[in-house]
Amino acid sequence: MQVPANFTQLLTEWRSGHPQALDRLTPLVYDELRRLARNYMRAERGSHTLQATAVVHEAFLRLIQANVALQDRGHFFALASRLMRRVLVDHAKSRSRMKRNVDARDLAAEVAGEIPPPMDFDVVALDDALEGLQQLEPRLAQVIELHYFGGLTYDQIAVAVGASTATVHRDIRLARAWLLNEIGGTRPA
Amino acid sequence: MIPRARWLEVQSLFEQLIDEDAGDRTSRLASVCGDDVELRSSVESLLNSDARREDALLYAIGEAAESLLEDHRDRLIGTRIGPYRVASILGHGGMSTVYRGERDDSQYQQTVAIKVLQHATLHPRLRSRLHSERHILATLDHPSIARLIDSGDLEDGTPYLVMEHVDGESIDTYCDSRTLFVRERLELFVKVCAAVQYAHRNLVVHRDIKSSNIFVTVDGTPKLLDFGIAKLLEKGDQDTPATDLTQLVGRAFTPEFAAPEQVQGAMRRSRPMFMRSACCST
Repeated sequence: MQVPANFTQLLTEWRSGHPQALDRLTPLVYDELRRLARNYMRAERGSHTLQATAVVHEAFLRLIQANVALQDRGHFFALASRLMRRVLVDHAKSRSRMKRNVDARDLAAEVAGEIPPPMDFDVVALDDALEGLQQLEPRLAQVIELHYFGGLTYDQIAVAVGASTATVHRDIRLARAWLLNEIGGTRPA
Repeated sequence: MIPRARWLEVQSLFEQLIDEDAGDRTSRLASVCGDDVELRSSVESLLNSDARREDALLYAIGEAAESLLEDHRDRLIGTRIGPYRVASILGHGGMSTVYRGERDDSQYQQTVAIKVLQHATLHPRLRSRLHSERHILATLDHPSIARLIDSGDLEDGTPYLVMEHVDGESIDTYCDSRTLFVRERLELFVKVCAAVQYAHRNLVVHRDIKSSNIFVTVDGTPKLLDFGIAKLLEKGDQDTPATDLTQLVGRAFTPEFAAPEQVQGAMRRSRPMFMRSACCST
């Protein structure tokens, strides 16, 4: 797929307070995800979760490659990883609304041991906690977005934010620990 | 929230201690924190979370990504509908999904919008009525109404409509992005009204006119989209009971743009819809 030339422009509009730009960005992200997903999902079943994450990260990289001057890349990495977060969280929210009706059945299957119990938390809880981190220390929230939603390596993040790789690594460990405490309540390991 | 000064202390201690082994940590924490129990427990709980081996964040995101891809790995993408290859999804409506289709028989190049009605939402009894409706829609021929090109059923019986693909942007975005003057906006509006009037003369009401259903092409032609929930008015008798289809889709409008009578569920006539369309282009 050719990434539309206005992708970066839409990103800029979105962050400068034009929420309707999100309506035009989301289909671009979906298109790219779908295109990539066709290849990934043909692979054998299992480890889908990791594959899906890889799809998101690859889509991110392809979208951000469009027409971004080198000196602006850090800025656009930040915008695009924020966009990925938005897309995933919005989808999760709409899905939980749709799924409300089948919860009872799921619970029964779970009790019967047919499906594993849900993991600790979902992306919506993560999103809420990230808002809190943003208030506390914006730098930490940003490295989390870049690493987890954008799929950037520590080295890539270091270049994007102008810090050393060691600093980025420390920041991510601190941010992740803080988020886990915030989401799960403090508990012993 | 944790006071700034305290947070900086916690952060600094965490960073000093993360690479030390457990024994050294405990003694360092004890000596640095003294009887500041709060500081000590804050740092300890962060170190404990840091020590968790599985990456729960990645898992949460992966799960969201998987569910998103599952929902959007559409079975129709890449398949053929009539002479068209389904290329991508243009959008989701309340009762349908609209795909971009490309003509795929090397006759000529053509892009269309294919609207596939959601199987589950269609009562079997209403299918025949839908069939007759789309024939009527096919007779609408106006430069400002997106044309119905073809229609049919998928193999599983799901009805679809092939519509003219309108390459443009919604009328409000169009007006604002070009900062059109009032006069230019009104000229567009008059064209929209003409299309609505044309449809009404053919006894077809749109019933969901809103800015996102009016696109303007690059050459400035407004196009009314999505006559999907249009209802054929009963000829000569405005007071006949609502048809099945009307009952099904009777509330399938967008409240912000609907005529008050529609919201109140009163009998619908052409007039309120026409009057109300005035609001869409402002």
